[in-house]
Amino acid sequence: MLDRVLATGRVHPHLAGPLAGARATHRAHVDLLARAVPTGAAARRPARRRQPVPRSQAAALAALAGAEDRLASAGGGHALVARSGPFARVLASMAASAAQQGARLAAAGEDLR
Amino acid sequence: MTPLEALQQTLAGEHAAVYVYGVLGGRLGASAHPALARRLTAAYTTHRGRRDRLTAMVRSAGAEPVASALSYRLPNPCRTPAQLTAAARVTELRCAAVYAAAVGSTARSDRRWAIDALVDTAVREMSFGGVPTAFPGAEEL
Repeated sequence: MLDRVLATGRVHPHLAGPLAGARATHRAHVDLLARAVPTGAAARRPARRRQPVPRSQAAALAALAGAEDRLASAGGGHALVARSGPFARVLASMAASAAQQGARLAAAGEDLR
Repeated sequence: MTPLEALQQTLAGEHAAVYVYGVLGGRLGASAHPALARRLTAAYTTHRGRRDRLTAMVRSAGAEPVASALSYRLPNPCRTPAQLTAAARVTELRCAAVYAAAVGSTARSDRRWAIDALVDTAVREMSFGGVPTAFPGAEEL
């Protein structure tokens, strides 16, 4: 998700303001997971095809908002099956954070339409 | 914290939230602030539903649900629309911490419930002027 936010920022430099929160949030999530998984597993990125960034700013924000919502849903699922209670709490909090970003990015995208 | 203790703690938080939202709704001039009135009513309905659901969850765990206090201290004087909005925001923030704790102390369907409540309350907080954070309900991270 951090990669996707950064890619959107490269294509749309004028969106730096609306994207700042998402960038900081996902960097904090990556940092926490990297600390939680000291073997370096968190640094290995899945070989997934990168999503193209929409050309319009509003569509780019809407696409990111959708990705945040899907991340929130997936994160909630991970929290549900986490073996450790404390880690479940962390994952659920991250899911809630993604949902917040989704709402904020969707609102920012609407403002541009 | 045992799963039952987590449910009871969450129920106690929900009793407080229902009380506060009841006061907030009563103090707002709804005709002058219809949008805020709608948000407060929706929040009140949501928290009342959660209180009832938690009461049932505690009962099904074989325990007596913790009772509501007669009254609760309000987060601020709750006189102006800005104060009412801030009080709603504080209430959601407090609920987020309680739900997150419940996630960590429960499993299966109870944990699913707590996850959904945490996600909902984090977004609802923003509707009362809250800003997104990296770890809602677990701000010490």
